[in-house]
Amino acid sequence: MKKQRSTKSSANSIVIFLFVLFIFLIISVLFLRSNNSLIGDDAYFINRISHNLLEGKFASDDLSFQGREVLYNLGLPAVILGLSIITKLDTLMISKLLLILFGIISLYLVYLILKHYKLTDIDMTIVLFILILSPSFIYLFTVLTEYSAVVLLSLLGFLLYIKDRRKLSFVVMSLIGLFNLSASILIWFLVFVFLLNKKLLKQNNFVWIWFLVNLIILAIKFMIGHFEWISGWWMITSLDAYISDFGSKFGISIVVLILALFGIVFDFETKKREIIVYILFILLILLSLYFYWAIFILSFFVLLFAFDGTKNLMKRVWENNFLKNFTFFILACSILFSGISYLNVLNKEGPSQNMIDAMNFLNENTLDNSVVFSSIENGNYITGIANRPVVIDKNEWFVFGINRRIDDYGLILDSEDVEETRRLLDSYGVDYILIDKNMKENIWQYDEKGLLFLTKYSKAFKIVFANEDVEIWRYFQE
Amino acid sequence: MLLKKNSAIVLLILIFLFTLAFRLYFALTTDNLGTDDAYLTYRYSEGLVNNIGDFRYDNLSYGGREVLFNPLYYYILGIFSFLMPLLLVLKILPEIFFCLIVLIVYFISYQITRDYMSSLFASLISGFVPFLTKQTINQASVYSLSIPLILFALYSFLKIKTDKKYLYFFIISSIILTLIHQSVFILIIALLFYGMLLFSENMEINKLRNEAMMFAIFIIVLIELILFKDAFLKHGMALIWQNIPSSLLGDYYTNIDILSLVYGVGLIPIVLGCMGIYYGVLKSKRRGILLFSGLMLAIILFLLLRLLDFKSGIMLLGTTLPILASLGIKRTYQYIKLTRLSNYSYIFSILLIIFVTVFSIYPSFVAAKSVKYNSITNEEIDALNWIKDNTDKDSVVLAGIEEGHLITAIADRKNVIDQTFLLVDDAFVRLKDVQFIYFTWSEASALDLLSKYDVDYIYLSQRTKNFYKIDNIIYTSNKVCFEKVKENEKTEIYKVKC
Repeated sequence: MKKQRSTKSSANSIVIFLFVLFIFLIISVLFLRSNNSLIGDDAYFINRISHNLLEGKFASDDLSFQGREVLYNLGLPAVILGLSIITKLDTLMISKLLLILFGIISLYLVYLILKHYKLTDIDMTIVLFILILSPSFIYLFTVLTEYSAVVLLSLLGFLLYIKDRRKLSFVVMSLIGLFNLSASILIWFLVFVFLLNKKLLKQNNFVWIWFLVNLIILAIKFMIGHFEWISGWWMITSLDAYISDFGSKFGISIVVLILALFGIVFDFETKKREIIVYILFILLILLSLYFYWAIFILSFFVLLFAFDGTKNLMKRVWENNFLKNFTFFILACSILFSGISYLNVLNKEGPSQNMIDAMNFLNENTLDNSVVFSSIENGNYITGIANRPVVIDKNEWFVFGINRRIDDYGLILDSEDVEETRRLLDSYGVDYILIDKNMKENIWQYDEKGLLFLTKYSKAFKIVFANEDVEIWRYFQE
Repeated sequence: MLLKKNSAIVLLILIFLFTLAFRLYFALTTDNLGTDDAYLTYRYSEGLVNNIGDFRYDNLSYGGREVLFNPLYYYILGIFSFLMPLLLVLKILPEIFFCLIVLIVYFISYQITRDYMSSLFASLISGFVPFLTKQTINQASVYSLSIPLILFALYSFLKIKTDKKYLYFFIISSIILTLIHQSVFILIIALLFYGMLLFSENMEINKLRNEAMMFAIFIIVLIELILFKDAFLKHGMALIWQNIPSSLLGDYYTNIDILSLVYGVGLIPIVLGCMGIYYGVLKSKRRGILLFSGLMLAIILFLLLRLLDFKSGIMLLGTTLPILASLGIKRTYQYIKLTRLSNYSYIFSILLIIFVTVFSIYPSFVAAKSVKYNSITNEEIDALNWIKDNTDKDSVVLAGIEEGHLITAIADRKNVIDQTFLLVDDAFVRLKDVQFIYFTWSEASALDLLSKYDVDYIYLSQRTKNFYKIDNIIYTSNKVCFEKVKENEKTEIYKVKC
């Protein structure tokens, strides 16, 4: 009995160690960045929207696509604003603290879910170890996006469901729509398929209330904004987008993926998992082709299969113990290496100090209504940090004439006909053009191509700011 | 045909010595190494041993850039340079490594056939695969060590069940191979295909082999992830194609066809290898044959999907087919024994020797002669040494893409482009620009590009002329901007003055 207690306490200490390790990881990414900035452009967009809310702008945006009527997902900006008012801390600091809080709560919810399923201590350790070092989980709680709240609420909803507090579970799930409507619809769809398969729809009427909430929010969005289908809506075509070791923004580690494949083969042979798990898994893979962020949810399924794979490897009778121990040591090292190298990648994510300097230049040296033309990826930085209107950014839904705008954007970048480029820039009232290193590397292969050629040789452009990464050109309209 | 063990061993040693003598003859009767790539090996080996450590930044290639490679092969060659001059190490050691194939193929074939004669024939054929000879002789090629290691790992894998020490041989050879060359992935794929073939034949995989396989997969993935972390992050799955510019990709990843296979591998191993597969896979279901059939299937599939470069693919096929051929040879001997010609089986042996001579040894001889003929000449070395002795240390020298490593290794100067594309951002642009500089008649455009890359000297050899199909560089006739500073029978060097 005494021995059992000591095993239990050592297992608990491992779980506590993993919690501490996770907190340390996210704090190190969030607070040890050289320029102390938030990671990624979404964070600046969300912060800007929370400022808009403070000014009472619920359904309009003055800067995105040069201003328009639109209802964004207001859940996270509202939470940030509320906390900022209560604590009197600025929204950027609140964003960082909120990410840590969301991370801890989500991890604790996972722990409670695992406990509910009566996982042994060693199993719990395996799951938590893989989870906290998985790039998509790290990304969720180091880069401010709406999906951190979506995952937290989904986990809470799931926990309440398995604890038989189903009504409350669906109330929680219904809240997801406030944070991200498309995620809410997608998760609803998955839950619906699950309940349908299990013939549990009748016992869970509340799923329709969730559906109704989604529908209402969608209707309001349509009433406020102008909807136009984007003709060339992209689809993920490369496996790289799913694997963090191959440079994806957030994805799954290659070693965990191999373990998951082992798990799938094993589960399939032993019929360990119900068919619905595979159906949902395949659905998620298909959906993630169009909704990249679905990888966040997909990674939980991968975690499940990877756990099965690891468990199978552990349970089988190994003929050679040395091989067994060494294999597990390598596995642990690989997962650790993958996670740590991902942290390194995250640390190099934008905005760089040079980009922030360029934004500050725009903010301090241009008129409030000066329109800036840059890449789609830079749009949120320009509106969020420089506080200037842009021709195009990533929030492309509910924009009047979006397809034409996207075509014009491509033309401006590619054309070497000064007359044509001037006509287009004039039509959007562009005052400044911002060109950064990423644009040079990804859009033009040569130094003197498209817009780069024109800015260099046409007198309509004059360089007003330059550092190693960013150039800002003043454009003189005709 | 009856052959005793001792006689077989003596014959094997003779085959080994014959192969080695053949290769050393061609390697040592040329003053220099065979190709530009061989000089990259020279430079890395020298650099790694002299700096004793990391060589992640190459200050000469592409004017200075990060490089990633599997370092062990260069360390091994470099360490031997303490015993004799590095040039000699690069000429002798890889040839010895390569000849190990002959021994390993013999032991694998014997493991499969339990027949000395067939194994000896397989061993002889494997030493004289024309394409392998062409690609490895006097070139200090990393394949001269990676191919024997792949075969040794597979041999150890086959013997795991009978002798536990082979488990450790398998593990060690897999780890060494991972540190030597990326072709280690072929090993993983071969093992996976072997597993699939067993599964399709309803055969159980031995537990220990299964464990060894899993271990190998994880350790190889981990080591390669660590070594090539930056390249994986930068190129993703496209790393398979080594960041080779699209205009060159067709040369590296061309489709496989029967003619090139016959020409590269030889008729005998193809015919007898197919017989071996037929008997081994369809009739007797031998595990050894299944393993090497798995390897062959993997290579062919990857060549067809263009996931494996043509050179590596044909080289690996060239060593796999003789092993499979051993079973074909054995079955033919067995068949002859059943006929009235049973007393004349030696005639089959003589015929086989003639066929091997005509279809394997002679084409290898021709291939080796062509390598010798195309080796780097003394005039080229002289011109490159002139650059080393008479130009500023920071000078940038423009050379053709197939001579970039010569500039860095012998002239010790920065180049504009070479054939190592990994981690290079603008390989495609540079390739086009260099081609344009050699082709164009417009002095102004050429000067623009020369100034873009800060080029101080243009190196123009007969090799460059052949590659770009030019007779000279038209605009260099302008003496104001270009001065011919060095000329010999096969090279010219121009100083860029504007």
